Amino acid sequence: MSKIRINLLHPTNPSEILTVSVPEEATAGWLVQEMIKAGFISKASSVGQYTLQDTRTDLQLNDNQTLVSARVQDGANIRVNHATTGAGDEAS
Amino acid sequence: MRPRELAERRRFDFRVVNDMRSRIFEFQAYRSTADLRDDHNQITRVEDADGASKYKMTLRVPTLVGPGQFSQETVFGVDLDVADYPMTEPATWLISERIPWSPHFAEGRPICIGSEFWVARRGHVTLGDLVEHVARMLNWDEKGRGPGYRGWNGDAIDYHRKHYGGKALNPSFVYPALPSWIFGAEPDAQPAFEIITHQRLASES
Repeated sequence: MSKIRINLLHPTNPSEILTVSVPEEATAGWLVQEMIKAGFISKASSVGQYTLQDTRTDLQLNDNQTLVSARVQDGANIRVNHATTGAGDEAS
Repeated sequence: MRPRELAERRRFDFRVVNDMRSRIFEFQAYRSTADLRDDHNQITRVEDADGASKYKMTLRVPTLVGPGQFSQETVFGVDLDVADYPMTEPATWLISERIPWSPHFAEGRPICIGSEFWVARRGHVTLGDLVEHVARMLNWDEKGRGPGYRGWNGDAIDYHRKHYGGKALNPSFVYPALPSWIFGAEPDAQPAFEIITHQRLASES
């Protein structure tokens, strides 16, 4: 299983970046779960509130889409977007 | 506990909390209170941790420090060098200047971790459990200690009941978790989600 290095850009603090090495077969949903476990982002109050977007292509990954299938390259910057529908700040 | 067993237990505790490091939790370990005070001779490797008995821990759990006032982090000390450890709970003290406004925290006093949490478990509790327990107390996420409990701050209890209905300050907060190997899981040779760096770039102003 080959791994790639990606830079995860925090949803609310643009100066905060988590650089990780992950399998190419990692899905967007799995990455979100791992970011929560690592304390990089807070647990969202409902499923699917976080989305990932490759800044090179502006492509937004589906939850079950793998990095390799989305053609995410080694060294890519992945923006973590937090979709909110009301007041409140879930991400820390 | 014999000296060799105590050394092994200290290595074990160090290994547990070392695998719990995250953005929310970090620590420094030392052999003496003087080293901790001076930030000198930090213990950074499991193989050197047989003498690790003094810990400076930082938990980034937003917590009340007054009515409607929050602190984003709390720093506290933990001393494993107590008689009959781990049957006896470790000593604790607050290092943060801003004291959590809570029945379990008070300036100049140990953290009130509760005898049911540590002593009643007769040694079957780790330093990592203590980290999670303190994190939960900072977030007011606990079952409570009975309706008459006032602890060291009855006003804080009243405020919390009125404004949070007795619930956690942040119900979705993700706590530092015990490492999976402690439950018997095979450790991965290399974690699938391997953190290389966590940068917080200084903002330009």
